[in-house]
Amino acid sequence: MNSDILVVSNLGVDFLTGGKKINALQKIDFSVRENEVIGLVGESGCGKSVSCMAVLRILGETAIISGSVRYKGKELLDLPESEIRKIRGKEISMIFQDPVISLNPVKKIGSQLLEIIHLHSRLTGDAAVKKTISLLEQVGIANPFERLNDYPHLLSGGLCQRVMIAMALAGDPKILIADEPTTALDVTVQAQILQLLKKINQERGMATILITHDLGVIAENVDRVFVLYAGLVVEEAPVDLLFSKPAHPYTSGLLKSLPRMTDEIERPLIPIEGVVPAPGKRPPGCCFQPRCSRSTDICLKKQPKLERLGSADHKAACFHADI
Amino acid sequence: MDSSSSIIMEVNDLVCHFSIKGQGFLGKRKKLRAVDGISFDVARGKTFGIVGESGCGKSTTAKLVLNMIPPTSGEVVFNGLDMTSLRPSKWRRLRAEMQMMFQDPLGALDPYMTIGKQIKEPLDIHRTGDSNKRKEKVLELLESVGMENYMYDRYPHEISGGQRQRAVLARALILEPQLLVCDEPISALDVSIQAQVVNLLKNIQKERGITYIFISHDLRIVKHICDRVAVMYLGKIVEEADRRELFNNTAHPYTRALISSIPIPDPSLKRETIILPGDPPSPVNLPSGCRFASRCPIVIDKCRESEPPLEDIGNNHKAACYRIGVK
Repeated sequence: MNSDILVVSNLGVDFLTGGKKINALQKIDFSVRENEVIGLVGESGCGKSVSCMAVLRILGETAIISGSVRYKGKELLDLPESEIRKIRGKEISMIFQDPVISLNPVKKIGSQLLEIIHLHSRLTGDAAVKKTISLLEQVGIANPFERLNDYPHLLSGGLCQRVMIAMALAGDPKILIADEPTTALDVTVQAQILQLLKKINQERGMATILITHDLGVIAENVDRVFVLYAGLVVEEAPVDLLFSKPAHPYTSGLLKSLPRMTDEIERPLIPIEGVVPAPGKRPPGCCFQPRCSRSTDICLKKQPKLERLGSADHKAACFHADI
Repeated sequence: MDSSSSIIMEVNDLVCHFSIKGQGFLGKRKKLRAVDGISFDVARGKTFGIVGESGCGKSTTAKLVLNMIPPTSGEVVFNGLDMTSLRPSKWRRLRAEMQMMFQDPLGALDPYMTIGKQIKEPLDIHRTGDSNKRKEKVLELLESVGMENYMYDRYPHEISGGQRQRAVLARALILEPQLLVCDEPISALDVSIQAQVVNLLKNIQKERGITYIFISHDLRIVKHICDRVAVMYLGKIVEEADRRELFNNTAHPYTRALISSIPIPDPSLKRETIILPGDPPSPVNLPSGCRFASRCPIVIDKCRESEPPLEDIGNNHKAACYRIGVK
């Protein structure tokens, strides 16, 4: 087994708004090993993006971050700003959901890429252009030389996402965080981008954190999964185990509520009743308890801890977990 | 078969071209062919699905069949009446019979009006019953879409996304329409909420016998909810069949690629994903021949020369491809 490259423990985030503290992340633990692809999955507001932005400390001044983020043994949350800037993009880089608005609309693709390359490697002139072109080739862009002079609006969503990936790779990072990288794209283009991310992960031996709400994307692309709900990790498992033996009622509820292409006969969807509690309005005890069919008295009083189940690597935060 | 009663809507050779400005100050105007000659029949009390990727013309089709934008040519026959040639006064009365539900419920609701008032408004406009009866009717409907009474006095920002989409549905149903066009009705919702709304739509159909035209990019939902499905690519229907036939005997290479691109939430299932190269061409400069030729994995020379017609291949299954049967 490879060793942990990034260990996030007890990570919590509060936002200060109007003098009030709003809790976004309660307590998140996850880890990434070398060469591994992990998935963070959950619905909107569960804290999957916030936790990764907290890792890179790009949440802004209103965010109060607690806990610990250790990258190769170094504590990132204690680093001075000048040091964390050397981590961003060079050690850990990130791509976002909407590639078209993530790129600068008034600058050419080439100059945006050159800026990043100069920042990370101090290359200039022809050498920098050469690196730009090789990056664009690596992400599967045809005629990269001609593309350098294009503005983002001339490119399709899929091409823009490829440019974003090229930018993220410019500093040769060890970890790539992909935050819903294909949600804004069409399914046939989504398939292209996911294939590309897989190829990059294998070729570079780079670890990847894939954030998504789509359990299908998770099933086909990651090694280990962390299921998030209301700012907590409620289940952690290797991908096969999560789908064959979901332990937490939220995970199994999500799986039952999905329509499937493989269904031959019509199966009614079983929705999870109710809604995700908003930050600041979370119930006492277990956050999932108001929507849970297994809920008992203890769930109302105590918050379950993420505990190890039968097999190694499989953990769930539930008093009534399936084992 | 009595077609006048079993078919609620007939769309014949519908075309919608938009004129857009070309590049530069004196740029020539160009034609964007959003919908380029489509025909289909919608069976009464059933769900007709339209799927395709962004830019294929599915939302334009939704607006055309509701006569919200005028077609360039072609006709839409609703219960035997050609709507495209109706006078506005007559047309307005017909409008109560067909309603629409949009993707983003927050954008579709008026932020300054309470939920109850918005649902009641169509009744006020069409002057149905007196004020007490109208409110009673709204409350009844709220219950049948699974909303509590107190939601009547809430504003859209005070309720959750799933509740908002229920409110949009209630507003569309208040005039008891025969046809409801749903344009991506659940795409903006969270996974656990999607199933709630899908089940609700199905129950409403069972109770009221309403017909749906269901537009979506998500084949999983389409397979779950639709009786008959049309697949669109760049303004044309490339394949149309009953649900089971379409998914079991897929004929068109585009539909096959679409189906194979959908990630399946089951890691034990290993299968081959067909990766299509590139993006769909722009609907402004369409290639000659088959529109799908530039991305098709089984293209031959003939495909680039002439456009394959949508032909019946048996079993009430239509496809537009010269290479049917080739995999």
